[in-house]
Amino acid sequence: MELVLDRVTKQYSNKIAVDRLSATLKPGVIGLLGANGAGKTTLMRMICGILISTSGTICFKTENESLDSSEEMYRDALGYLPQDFGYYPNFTGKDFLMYIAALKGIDKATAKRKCNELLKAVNLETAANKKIKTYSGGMKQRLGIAQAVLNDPKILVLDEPTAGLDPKERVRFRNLIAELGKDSIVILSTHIVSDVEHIADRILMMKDGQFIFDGTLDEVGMDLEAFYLQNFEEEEEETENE
Amino acid sequence: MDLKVQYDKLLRYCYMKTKDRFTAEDIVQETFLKLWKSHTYEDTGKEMAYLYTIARNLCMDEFRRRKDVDIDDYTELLECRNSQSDSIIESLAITEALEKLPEELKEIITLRYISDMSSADIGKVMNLSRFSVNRRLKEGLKLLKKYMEGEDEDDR
Amino acid sequence: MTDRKLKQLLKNAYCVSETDNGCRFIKMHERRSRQFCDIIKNELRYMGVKSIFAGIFLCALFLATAQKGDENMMWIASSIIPICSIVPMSLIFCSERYGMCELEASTRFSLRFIRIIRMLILGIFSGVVTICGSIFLNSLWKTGMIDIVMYLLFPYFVSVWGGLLVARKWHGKESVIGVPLVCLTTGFLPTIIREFRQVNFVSDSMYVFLVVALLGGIVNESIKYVNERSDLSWNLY
Repeated sequence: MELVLDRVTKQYSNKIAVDRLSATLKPGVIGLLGANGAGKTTLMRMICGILISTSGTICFKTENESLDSSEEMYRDALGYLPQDFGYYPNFTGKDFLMYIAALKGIDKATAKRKCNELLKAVNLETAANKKIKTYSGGMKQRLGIAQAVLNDPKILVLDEPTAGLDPKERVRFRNLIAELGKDSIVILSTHIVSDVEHIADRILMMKDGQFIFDGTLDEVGMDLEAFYLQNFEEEEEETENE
Repeated sequence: MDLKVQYDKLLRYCYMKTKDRFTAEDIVQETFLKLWKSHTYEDTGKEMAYLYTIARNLCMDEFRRRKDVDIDDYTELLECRNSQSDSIIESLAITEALEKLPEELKEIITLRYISDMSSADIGKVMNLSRFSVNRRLKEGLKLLKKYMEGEDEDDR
Repeated sequence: MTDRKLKQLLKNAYCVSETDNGCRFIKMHERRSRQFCDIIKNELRYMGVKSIFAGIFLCALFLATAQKGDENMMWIASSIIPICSIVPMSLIFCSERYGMCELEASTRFSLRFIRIIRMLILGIFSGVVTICGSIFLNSLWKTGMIDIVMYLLFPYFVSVWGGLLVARKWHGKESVIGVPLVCLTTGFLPTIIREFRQVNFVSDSMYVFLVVALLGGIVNESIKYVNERSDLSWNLY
């Protein structure tokens, strides 16, 4: 089982957000690091089938079949936690999960059971029947991750999942993500280096729409934070020179 | 159709028949796979009688291979009992009471109250009329009550 | 021992705990199928309450204004319709309003399907309301069914078409302002036209042509909207 990115490009009229990216992602936790505007969110959206690439393909390959990112069954194997998401007014946590479950093609009986299990797993059991507008930021994030895993996705895309969480919640999240990474391809996009340090099996660093590093934590050879800042500094130097 | 729920129900039926959880699990998986050879996944919910017939036959094959075994390890049962409402004693008592029942009654009670099968479907699996099934259900419940109350009396 | 207690105990008999093997089997074979009904039911439930309120409001307005049966009333009714159409329009665009587009687009059924469902539901609902409303008003005003349908449909189609166009061009949260703005503006349209030409809708066959053309425009915009994969719209959230 692997997710294959083949020369994926996204070009807007005035800039190239993602520039001929190629990579083969296998099950495990893949950390996607980069500054804002590096093209991370654009790449994530293309992986989720929300944006269509200007050129290049994204394919999910299993033993039996190969699915392109534009197909319905591709999205069936996908779970996504966007950086920011809203909710319909007056929806409770449970309503929200059931609504998303229906959109994911899960039948009512299974959905009810799964929603209860997941609400318990993310510690929202007591708040399940309260309206989402009463939720704290951390609670909303937990609800977000619950909806992302409703369909036991084989590809899980998380965009800044720990932003706004307190340290204790962050550790719980990391453990949960590490667990999920055992059987699925988890792509974790963040600019919090410590998240990636602890759980990523592979690190992709992105800058100006390209991968400037693709390897394991060991291959970085130094403290990840220092490595990240080094690349960041290079960027600052460039802008100074201009 | 919630696969997990149906799997669990069938697993308990097979455990009742074979008294061995590993054998039971193998039979359950084999049963589903056999069903899906001739029916679609979506139809599973409608083919309960056929599903349990397959399982029943597989259990009987297993029975012929080994002698009748008793449940002597109750830890399984204790692990997942509904701890909020049932006491340990009650959980043990109901299992013992069920084991006292004649095989046919035990099976019909299991199919009805554990697998939530309709009388019509139970009839298909056991080769009985709906009337017979309902009659036996009443009989079974009566006996179970007697055993459960009898136990209470013994405790006093 | 009561029957109830007995059955409750039975429910948990022969209980066997989960195994990894079992979980794996279930995960491997579990399949999701197309659950159209659930999605449609969800949308109906969510939209139903608001639509019913809008419908009641509309009816109350009509009943209040329909006491006198003169031509003035028809113009007023024409003006009120586009303002009322803010409600169905806001129902179609509720994904955009509440920032749910991105999440919904990543699901199996996707945003496209939801948009189609919403438009179908509202289209059917509008159709039914138009027919019932026309019949009712015709019995009051007796000016002829075609007249009434034109008075009701022309401003409605203008606001719907305008709203769809605006929502597609002005992305994200700006459309929240843009769409009601279009509806309100359209409310003044009949008054403006009336000042311009002291004319009856249907006697000028141009208006019939316009209504049909608008319907075509709406269909066209709807298709574009449904297939839209906004690149930048969600960045504004």
